[in-house]
Amino acid sequence: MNMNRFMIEKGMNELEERFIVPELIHDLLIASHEGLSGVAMKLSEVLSVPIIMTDSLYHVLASSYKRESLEIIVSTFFENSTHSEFFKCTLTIDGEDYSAYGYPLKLSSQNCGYLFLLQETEGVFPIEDYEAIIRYGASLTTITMKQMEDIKKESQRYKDAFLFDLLYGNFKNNDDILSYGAIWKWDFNQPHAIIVLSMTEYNPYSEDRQLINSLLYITEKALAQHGLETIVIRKQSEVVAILPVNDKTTFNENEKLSDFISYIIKQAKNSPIGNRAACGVGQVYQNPSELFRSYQEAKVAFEIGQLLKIEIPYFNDLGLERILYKHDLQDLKEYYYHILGPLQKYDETQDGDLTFTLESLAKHQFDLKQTSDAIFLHRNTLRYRIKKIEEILEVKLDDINNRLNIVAALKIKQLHKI
Amino acid sequence: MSKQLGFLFNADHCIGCTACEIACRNENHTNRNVRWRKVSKSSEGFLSLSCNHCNSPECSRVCPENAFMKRHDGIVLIDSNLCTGCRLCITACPYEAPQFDYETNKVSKCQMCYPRQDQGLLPACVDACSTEALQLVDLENFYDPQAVSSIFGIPDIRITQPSIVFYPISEKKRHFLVERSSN
Repeated sequence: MNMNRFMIEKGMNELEERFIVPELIHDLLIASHEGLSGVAMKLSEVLSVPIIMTDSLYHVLASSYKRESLEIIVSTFFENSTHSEFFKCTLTIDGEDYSAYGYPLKLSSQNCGYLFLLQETEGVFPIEDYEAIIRYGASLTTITMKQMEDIKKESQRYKDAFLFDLLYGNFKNNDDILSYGAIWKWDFNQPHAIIVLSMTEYNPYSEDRQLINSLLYITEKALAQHGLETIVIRKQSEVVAILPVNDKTTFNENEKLSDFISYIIKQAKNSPIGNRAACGVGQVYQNPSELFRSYQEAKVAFEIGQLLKIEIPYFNDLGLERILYKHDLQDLKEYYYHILGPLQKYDETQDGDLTFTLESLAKHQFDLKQTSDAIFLHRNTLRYRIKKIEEILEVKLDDINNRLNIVAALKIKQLHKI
Repeated sequence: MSKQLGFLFNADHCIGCTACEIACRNENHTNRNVRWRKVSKSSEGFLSLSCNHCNSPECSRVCPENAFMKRHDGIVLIDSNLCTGCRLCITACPYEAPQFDYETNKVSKCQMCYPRQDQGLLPACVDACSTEALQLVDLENFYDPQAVSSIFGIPDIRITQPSIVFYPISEKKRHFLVERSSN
């Protein structure tokens, strides 16, 4: 009888033990209600080490440091052979180096960020002892990140519909735009300009689709770092940024805007996008119902920038190209062959290089010294070649009208790859 | 946007019967000089073109009256009430899609038979094509490695990004009748 009672009590105890949830787990779960920073703070409290959570590009998402912005540089990786998930590294925070353990945050086997545990003091850190709790903390972080992403996607659906109508000029009334914009606290009373960012040779059936998401992320991050509240969306193969132009943003100065875009392109270069990021900038419009023009202009500038190899093409700065790009191709070809046809024929038959010389001369505003320096040609040789070109084309190159014709023909060649 | 409706034109199948053009005219009751859809012939074959409901519609950008709009399914429409007949859109469009109507003094263009589509029907031109040379597809979800973005007779697509894809003409082979021997 007593033996039976003992067995029952033992069984009950085992059952209770099996269903015991440690207080620690409960606390972490409660802390996750406060988002990523809640998890970071609690995890740091439990492990007694500072915690930093970053995205896959090492941008800090949350940390146990009570600071709004924190920048880190991750360097010197040491793979830990005994624990494949952990890696040792050095974190540079405010110019000071710290040893740290990193743990990858994974969502459906895709890397979505890192959890870093900082070693502020010298000595051996018993990472093996903390492995289970760190893994749990990492899972909780990943779930919180996923929830944040889902909420963002849901609100983005309504935003996308509004922005689609805005970008295609479907709103005919300014008041509609102002009232809809107010829902997301966007002030369309101020002038705006549109930037289109995309990738060269975009292939929708490759990983490029994913890379555009990275470009969107980089753009959003860059805006946040510059303290700008700007509308950014992804549209098929493009990232579209609607920038307010005011005294705070100072985007009315092209230099400031170029610096900002250069920063995004530089960030993209350090990512898997590499050198393929490109952009186009539309004109500034005061009237929100005309913003669709800025969007279309940005796309035109993007395409022309690709052809003319301009790093940051502004629609505003495009000259003759604005007319030439949409003119009848047959007409343009006829014009090109009328102006430069004999020279091209001469080069083909005589194996010459005079078209290149003329291109270089036009590129350097028909300045002999600049051109000879640029193409490493003696000035007298260049003079001889110019004379030859004048003979072949039967025109004088010091006549402004002839120069205009030649520049226009060369632009046609560049734009339409004749 | 989850959709971008567009045309799929198989140049190999088109026999130049102009059924699409006639169906378009019947459906939309357009005037004699207004051709929303045009079938043209070149040395390489036939081509049936209408408004391509571009991703970057130049017609829309240049319109001073903001008379154009793009539906969420990708169809580009013109509001005839706003059109003043300035014809800037006609000069901007590389495909000559917008048509000037001398009777109304306004511009009109293909609207991809959206009233028919809203009823679950195909556009009249697609419906009338007996060889299935002209089809309607959602380009957001369409992928065929044999389809190309441009063929003969299509102006430069780089700026406008038209919502049309093509199957080019395949190389023709000659087949000879061979008389079988009685043995």
